[in-house]
Amino acid sequence: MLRSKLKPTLAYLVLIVPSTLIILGFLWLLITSFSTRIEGLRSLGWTLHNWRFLWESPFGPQYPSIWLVTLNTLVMSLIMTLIVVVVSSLTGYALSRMKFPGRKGFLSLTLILHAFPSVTLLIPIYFVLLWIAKIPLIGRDVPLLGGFGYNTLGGVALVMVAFQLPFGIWIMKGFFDNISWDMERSALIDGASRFKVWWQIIMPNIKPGIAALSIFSFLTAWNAYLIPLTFTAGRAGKSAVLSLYLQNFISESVMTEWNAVAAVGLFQLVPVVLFFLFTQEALLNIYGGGKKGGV
Amino acid sequence: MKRLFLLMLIGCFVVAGGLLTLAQDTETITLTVRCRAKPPMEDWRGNNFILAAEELNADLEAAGDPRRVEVVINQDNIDWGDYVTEFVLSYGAGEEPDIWLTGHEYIGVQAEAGRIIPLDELMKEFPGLNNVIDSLWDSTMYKGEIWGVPQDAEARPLYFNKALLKELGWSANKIAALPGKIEWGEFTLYDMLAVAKEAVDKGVVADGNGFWTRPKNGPDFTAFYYAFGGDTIDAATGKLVFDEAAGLKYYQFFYDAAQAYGSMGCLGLGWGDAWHPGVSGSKVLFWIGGTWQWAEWAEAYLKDLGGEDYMWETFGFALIPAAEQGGQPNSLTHPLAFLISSQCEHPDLALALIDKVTDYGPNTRHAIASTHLGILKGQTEYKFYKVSRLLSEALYMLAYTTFLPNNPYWGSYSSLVYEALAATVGGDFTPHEAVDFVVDGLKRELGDNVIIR
Repeated sequence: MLRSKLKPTLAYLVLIVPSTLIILGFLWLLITSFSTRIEGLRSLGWTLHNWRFLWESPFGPQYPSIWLVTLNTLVMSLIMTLIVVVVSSLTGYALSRMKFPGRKGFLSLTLILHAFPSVTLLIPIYFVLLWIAKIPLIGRDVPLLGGFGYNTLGGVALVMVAFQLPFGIWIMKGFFDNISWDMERSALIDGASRFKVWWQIIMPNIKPGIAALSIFSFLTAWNAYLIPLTFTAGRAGKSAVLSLYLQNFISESVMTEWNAVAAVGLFQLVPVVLFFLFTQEALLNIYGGGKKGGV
Repeated sequence: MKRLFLLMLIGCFVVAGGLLTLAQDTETITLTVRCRAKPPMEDWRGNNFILAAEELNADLEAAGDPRRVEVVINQDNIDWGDYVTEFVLSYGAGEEPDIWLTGHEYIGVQAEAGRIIPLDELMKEFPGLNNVIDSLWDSTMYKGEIWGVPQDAEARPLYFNKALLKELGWSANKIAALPGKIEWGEFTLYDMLAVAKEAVDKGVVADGNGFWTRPKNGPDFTAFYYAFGGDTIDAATGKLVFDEAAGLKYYQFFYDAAQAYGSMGCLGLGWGDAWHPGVSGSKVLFWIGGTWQWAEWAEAYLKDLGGEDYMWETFGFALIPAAEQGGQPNSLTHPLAFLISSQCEHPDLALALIDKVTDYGPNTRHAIASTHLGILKGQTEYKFYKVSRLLSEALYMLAYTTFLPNNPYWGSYSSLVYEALAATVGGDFTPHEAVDFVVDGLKRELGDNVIIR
């Protein structure tokens, strides 16, 4: 009896201790963002001043509004997430279900690509972006994205996609591997095409996988720093994203306003939390073997 | 029916012609301006162009020029390394700014790469630029041509803490006389170190805090090398120069400062978390800073204590002392300059804008807000410049100023010299070893592009 109670108590204890540390961190962030100064977790004066970036640029009228920067970040993250999920699903399906020459080599290659630190590829990627910029229609002046060349949101998203794809392909292949062949075989016997099988039979069964990949991709793009820094001009330029904008508050040579940093950091966190709330059910259901109640 | 069609056709031509004429009347040219600026103190670097564009458009209209200018400002406080990389990458992509504000020492490398244009010919049509103090043009010259228009200047004074000197027993008169003694070469670098050591010995400041330089590599160190008689550029060939004798004295000074005079506990510190709080928080007796930092300290670190009023009470400044009695004190100016991209389609308009911001009003706005020195002749007499006590009192330093050389290899040279300095301060190199390290390194990395004397 005692033993059966001790086990969950220990489990809770193990969970509560690290969780408390994280929660305290978030609490500090929240209190700091609404405080003039702070001592531990005690505010020495409440203020909305740190949140003024929501209605005015804290760096003067020439800096872009936070809302434009947020829109940039959202567009870049969604484009990247969409491309990564679609391409990874198609590739993962092919690698899981079809036999073709070079399949194993391709898998190994994607893993090797994933092992490359992004910083080593920055210059070659820059030249690729220069080349893409010269392609008519997609290179320049695409509405919202700016295009897919240097100093465009599309260009940054494209680079992020390239870095994220190996991870996505392996994840999705894993999910496809765990789906029973029976449903697929039945559909094929009934005359469904490969694409129809993929779209109507298999994809609904790997929703948790899609959710997981979506959130990982979205988070990677949302918090990306090095790639937007390298392939866009300026922390406050036309293609600035939130992670770059946040850096305007942190300077090597001027005293950092940490309260404002906390507020912008919290603002940057909100969409991620919302995204997580909408996808958490799917995320918590990550398992292999088809959907609940399925085969 | 036929007649109606003909009428419509004529109507279309008339409308199209009218639109074309209108379009010709108002050909809008977008010029981008990229500035590095610490907000809010240095915002006028870019913001002045907004006002300049209005003025320029009025000029263009009056002159019957069909062009109109629209300015896009891209301004932030990005690190210098990223800032320069960004220009190089965006130039390759054809996305570079038309007007690029940068440190004058980048002119050599950008000119060699063909990314910027010489301005001598274009400048003939803008006589207003003649108002720039003559010596500042030296900073933007490369291979006999002018490649940029100076935007601001500064002095890098030796600051001293009056309150700490009083604690050492200095009278108010003695403190007030210090800048003059330095100017006449009666108070040398080693005199300064002796006072610093006394402050450490008496517990007025902590060990290491007698005298500080900036915490990382930067132009200030070159001023000390000049003070010991060093030279960085050969006027005849334009090649970089390293003077072994001056270098030895330079390293000996910093070696002594760190090892024997309780100073130089500053290398490697973070600017915002340790260096600025250290000097503005009265923990350091002497330090080398910039005039532009005066505004930062007042605004960001000492506002609660009274800002500038408190600073005038507590801090003083003077030239960097001479190395020997009777020698020449100095300072170092590192002007930022407006450069024009070689891919800019309307360099005349870009220079017209630069000409507009290089005037007493716009330049003084920036000078006052950021505590940079003015760059124009007679600016000290300008009504709105005179209101700044700091700028008026520091402007005499421009007469003693020195510059960094405009040479494409300056980055490698400067890094090597600083690496040796950091090792000397840390006690890893003796002054002789430091000189040997620099000479070997320069020969290896720059070969014929450097002259060792």
